[in-house]
Amino acid sequence: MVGSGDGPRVLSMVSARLALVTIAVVLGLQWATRERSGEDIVERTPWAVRAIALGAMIEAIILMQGPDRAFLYFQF
Amino acid sequence: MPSSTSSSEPRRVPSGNWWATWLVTLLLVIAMTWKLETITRAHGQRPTVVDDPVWWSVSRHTVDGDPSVVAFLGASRMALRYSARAFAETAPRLRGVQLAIDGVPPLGVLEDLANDDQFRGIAVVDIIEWEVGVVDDLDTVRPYVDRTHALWRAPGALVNRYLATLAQAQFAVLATGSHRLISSLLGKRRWPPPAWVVADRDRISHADYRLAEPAALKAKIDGRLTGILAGASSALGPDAWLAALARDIEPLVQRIRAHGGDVVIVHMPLSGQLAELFERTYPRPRYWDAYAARSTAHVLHYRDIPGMSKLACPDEMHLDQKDHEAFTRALVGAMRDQGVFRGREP
Repeated sequence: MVGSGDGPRVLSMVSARLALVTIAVVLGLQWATRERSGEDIVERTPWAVRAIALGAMIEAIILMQGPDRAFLYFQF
Repeated sequence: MPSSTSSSEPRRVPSGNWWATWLVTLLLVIAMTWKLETITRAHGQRPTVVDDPVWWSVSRHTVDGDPSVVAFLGASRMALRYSARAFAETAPRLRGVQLAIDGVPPLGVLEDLANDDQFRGIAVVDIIEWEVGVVDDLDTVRPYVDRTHALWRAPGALVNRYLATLAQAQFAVLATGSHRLISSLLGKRRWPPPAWVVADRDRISHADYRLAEPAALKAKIDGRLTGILAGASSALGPDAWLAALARDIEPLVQRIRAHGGDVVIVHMPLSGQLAELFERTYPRPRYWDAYAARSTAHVLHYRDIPGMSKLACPDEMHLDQKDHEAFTRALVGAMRDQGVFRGREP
């Protein structure tokens, strides 16, 4: 995937590192919260932090535009 | 350990001050979008509407049985030349429709118009010598043509497309996108450079080559020249080239003329080393002029058109937006001189 051999590189090094960091963060969060439910975590999170997290997620969705990323899937 | 899979039990909403949470979220999204938009525009990026088969199909559907329709077919060369405003001013009784698709040769679209018995307008087709006889042209256009003939089957995609177009036409930050933004900030430690080509909601492209980084522009020119030079030795000879046009284009021209339409084939302006390379590889008397002499279409070459022959392409193949109007006016004038519009401009 990151092109250690002679084959064509599918991802740039920056993208590959970004993907690895994202995977590590997601796994870390899963591990840290393995004994707690999602509702518990949200309840213990200050509302201001919730707002920042929600805002960041909405902003990420807005910025991930592209021709193949239709939000509405409805086809006969 | 709590299960992460879904349960049939209704999930409770976590307690907390949700009004404040959503209000602050909304304000944060507005503030972040405004800030990103401001920075993006300060770096020269303009809003652009992303083209796709659904959006192209919407334009294609406006090409109906009206004989005053003039459809412009081609790839990026046509997309970066046609000016809707100049066309409307110089041919106010005709209706120009931009059907060029970036990176997609026009043969498949011409075939679609030939298959459309309703089509009675004029197809203006950008042809360049090296694309004649290329076998796999139709594969790239297939998603566009197929979607046109089944647009009603994808109402969700159509609604999504209209909403996306509304947003893309307003916000420059959407032209940059999160992946490019993060990659550039992390990889090169700088804001991503602006795209020098953008498109509006009418699928009209605008190229501002002042925004192009000289190194990036030179790399594009050199890469294209290298590719063409590599293929020059296998370029079709004049007889094979003319035979390919007779096989691929002429039947389509005749079918369009049979149901009341007409076809104009145009050789677009080139500049610099690229123009010299084409003139060496495809000597005009044996290629283009020979084709013009035998085709049933109207065949135009930029070197014969006053107002077009002196236009310079900054990347040797495409025109800057400041020349789009001059090009379109010159093309309309040449077509009028050839009698292409006769009987179509009441």
